[in-house]
Amino acid sequence: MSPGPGPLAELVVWGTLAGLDLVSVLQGMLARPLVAGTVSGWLLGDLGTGLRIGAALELFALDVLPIGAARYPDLAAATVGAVTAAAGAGWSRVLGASVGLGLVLGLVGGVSLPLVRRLNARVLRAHAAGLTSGDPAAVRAVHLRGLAHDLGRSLVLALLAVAAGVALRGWTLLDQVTGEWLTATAVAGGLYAAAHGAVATVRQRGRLPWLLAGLSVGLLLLTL
Amino acid sequence: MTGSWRAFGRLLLLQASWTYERMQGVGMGFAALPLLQPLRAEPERYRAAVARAADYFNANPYLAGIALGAEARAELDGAPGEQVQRLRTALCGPLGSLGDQLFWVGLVPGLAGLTLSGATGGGGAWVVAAFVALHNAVRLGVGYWALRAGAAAGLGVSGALARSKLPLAAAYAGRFAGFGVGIALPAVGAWFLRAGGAAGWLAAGAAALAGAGVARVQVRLPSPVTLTLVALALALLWRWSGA
Repeated sequence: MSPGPGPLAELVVWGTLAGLDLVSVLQGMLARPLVAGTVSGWLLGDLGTGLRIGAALELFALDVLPIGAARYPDLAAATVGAVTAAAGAGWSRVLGASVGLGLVLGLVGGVSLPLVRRLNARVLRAHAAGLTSGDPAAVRAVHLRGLAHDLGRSLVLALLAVAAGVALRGWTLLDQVTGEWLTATAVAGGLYAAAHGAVATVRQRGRLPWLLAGLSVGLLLLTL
Repeated sequence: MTGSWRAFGRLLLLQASWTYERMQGVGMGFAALPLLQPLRAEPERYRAAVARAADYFNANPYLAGIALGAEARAELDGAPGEQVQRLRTALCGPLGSLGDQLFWVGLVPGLAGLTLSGATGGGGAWVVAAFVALHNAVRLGVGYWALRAGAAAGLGVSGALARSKLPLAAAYAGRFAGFGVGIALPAVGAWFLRAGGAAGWLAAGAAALAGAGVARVQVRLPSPVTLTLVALALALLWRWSGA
């Protein structure tokens, strides 16, 4: 059964807030897939699936350094869409397809970031004289317009993600075996991404022993 | 310093007007306005200070308060404009590098890794909530400390930065990240692939080793996201072709 307008509106609001958190407001980790997914699952009454989708997409986020002008996927609203598609169905069948949807939406979100930056640049050029002369009104105008641009970007992405999630909800065309194959593939991809990110950031700084120590402890904990 | 809480609140929106031309510059200018209020009695000086505050700037957003506080203090103390500009330019690199090492390469992946293992190990949503609370406690605490430290040091901020615990914390944060992500990999793999038996474990181990190997030898391949999407499409085609 499709969620009612109330939960869908809440998902759009949550996706928008999480999208704003990625760059413009706070950067308080609301945009991390693990957080965005868990809250989305809670809003849809399926916390477990939200946590699982969030954890799978978080593995990909561990390979991302959201620094300065770098280009990276925006997985905030994307995770909301992925959870919307998966909630209420058995996770082992739908997780892989939903993670795939989340990654595609994340790439779309990633493309939207430079677009907003170009819009900001247009406003900046329009107020160039005011900024150069130190007019505080020009500073406020450029900054608040930038905030409005990112709010619009996040809202559009959240609407797109929730609409896609509703359209694909339950992945009814997927049989159990195919779904499990996709789930195994998506999890393997996530582990590849997380290991890639971990080694790429520790490679030149002598942190490899700590990664290996963590791996050893993790494996040891599994045997307990 | 007058207006420091308002400036701190505005610092949380630092990157809202990010552009390739000035990067975080306009955001810094917006955050500086409450701190520069005492200069309003001298309009020419005030406008010159605002213009400098909104010029090009790029650093880690969590530590940008150090530069903001130092610059505002220098402006209020009547330091020459060129000197303020040089200070601002000089702080971009160290604050960017130090902050990114401390947060994006250290604390964030480390906490995320530990959260993944805790959440998949039975802690569930409570561990995720603790992750958000802990990260934001550190983020807001460091952010406010940065603004206060910069405002106290003014033009002497470079020395204050060198004497602070930040460089040491950045080094430890990297080790913490390695450890946290290391613990997470087997925990998350087991959580998802437990039902897959030996084949599942083999696939998970092979995927993680491949990712580590590609990063280690620096082979140029498409991103993990692209590779995964291609693999998902191939798996779907393979299944639907009747194999």
